[in-house]
Amino acid sequence: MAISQSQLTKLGERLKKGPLQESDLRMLDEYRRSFGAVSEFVMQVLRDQMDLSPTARSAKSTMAIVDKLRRQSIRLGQIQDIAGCRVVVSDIAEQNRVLAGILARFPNAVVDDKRERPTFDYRAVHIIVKHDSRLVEIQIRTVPQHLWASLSEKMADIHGHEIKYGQGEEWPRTLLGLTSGVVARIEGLEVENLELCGALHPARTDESAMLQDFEVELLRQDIEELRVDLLRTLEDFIKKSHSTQADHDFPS
Amino acid sequence: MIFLLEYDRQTGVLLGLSSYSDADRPVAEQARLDLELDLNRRQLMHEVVLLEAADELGLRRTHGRYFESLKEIAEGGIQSNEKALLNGH
Repeated sequence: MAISQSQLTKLGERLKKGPLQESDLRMLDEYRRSFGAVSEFVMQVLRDQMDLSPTARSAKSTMAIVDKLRRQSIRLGQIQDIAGCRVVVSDIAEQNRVLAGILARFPNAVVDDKRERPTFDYRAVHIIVKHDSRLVEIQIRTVPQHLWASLSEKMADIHGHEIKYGQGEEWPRTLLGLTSGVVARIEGLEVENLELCGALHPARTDESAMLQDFEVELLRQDIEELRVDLLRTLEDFIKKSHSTQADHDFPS
Repeated sequence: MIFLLEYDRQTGVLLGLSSYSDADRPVAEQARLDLELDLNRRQLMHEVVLLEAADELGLRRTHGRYFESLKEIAEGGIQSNEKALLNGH
């Protein structure tokens, strides 16, 4: 029997309050299973029609649901990412292509472009798709955005999940903020580069060709410099992970 | 393929990984519930999650956090950036 909205709301309140009861875990499991079919449908579209390699999480973990209920003033039935899938693509151009492809197949989808409005430095494109009265969140990340998100998630595991929401220890947040800024600047220059190359006219004069090629070369050099900056911040993560491990092994 | 993962957030270590064929979704979902109930009885706060990917390699690519340490994630980032620099991107 389907769970009513009021049952779902009450379940969410009990989960938020804790401790977790066996009957509540069973009811939550029943609710999560109701997302299986829609999750499979979206996966099929991404895989078979768009030739992508998505990973699906047909239902959020209990721990993640409880965390979200406790962190936000939200009802269980309002959580939009119970079911989700993730696609990692090479760069911004590919991210835009995939976004357009998804919108062509799900015209009523809602886009949360976190490249324009990052959530605590997290950058990606999230799309909420509705099918058979169920919502599925599709995350499209470029390789650098995904690298940042993986670092952030791992840091949150070690130093507390509040780090992902602008709280907690300062140095992990500072390092994540720096890294996200570098990734954003690299991607901004990549967009500029794409626009510049797209605007190259086949019948351009020798002089304009020389100028445009010069601009492209400058952009390429700027991107290289930023990649070197990114390497430095990644090395800082490694150094910090060593010192954190040492603190863990030999507490003062 | 469907993968059932048990992950300890506090230590950042993957404690269990089982795989199921796509046709065995109900079996995988039951295994998830059984594991959650068992952990709850033992008062262990582990994350239990079902993920679907073409294969384990695809899963590791999109959900590396469950498989790699912070150092390994950063080293992977360094390698891909060095490659991009070599290729002139």
